[in-house]
Amino acid sequence: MPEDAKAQGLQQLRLARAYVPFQVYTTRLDPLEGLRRGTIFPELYMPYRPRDWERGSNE
Amino acid sequence: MMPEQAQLLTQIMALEFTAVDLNLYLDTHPDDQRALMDYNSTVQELAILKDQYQRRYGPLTNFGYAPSQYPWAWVNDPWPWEVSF
Repeated sequence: MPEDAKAQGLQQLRLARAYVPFQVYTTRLDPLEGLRRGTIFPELYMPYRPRDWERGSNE
Repeated sequence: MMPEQAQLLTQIMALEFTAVDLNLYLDTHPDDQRALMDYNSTVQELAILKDQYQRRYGPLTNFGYAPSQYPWAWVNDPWPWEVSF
């Protein structure tokens, strides 16, 4: 691993692994709420919230 | 823009958003009957609201979807970027 990656503490981050579980339609938001959130599917509503990476918190 | 016009327009936008999201879902789940029923009811409701809007406030698109009152309203209506609601 290149020195700078180690230096930035990136070594504990796993390489990307793409997987797409099949979405099942259950409920949906009402139209106005969907327009506000950017999706009508509650399971797809994942706003990016700034997170402090140093603590290495990864859900 | 008058509040009730803005409110109706927002509802139309919300229904169009729902329709396109269901369309995207149905592209990968064509045999999901409930999603398809939801899509069809959304499209029906959307057509009703659009018809209401266009009768009262003029055309939403410049051609092909709605008759226009006299005189031709499209060119003098507020442009989307001139509208804040």
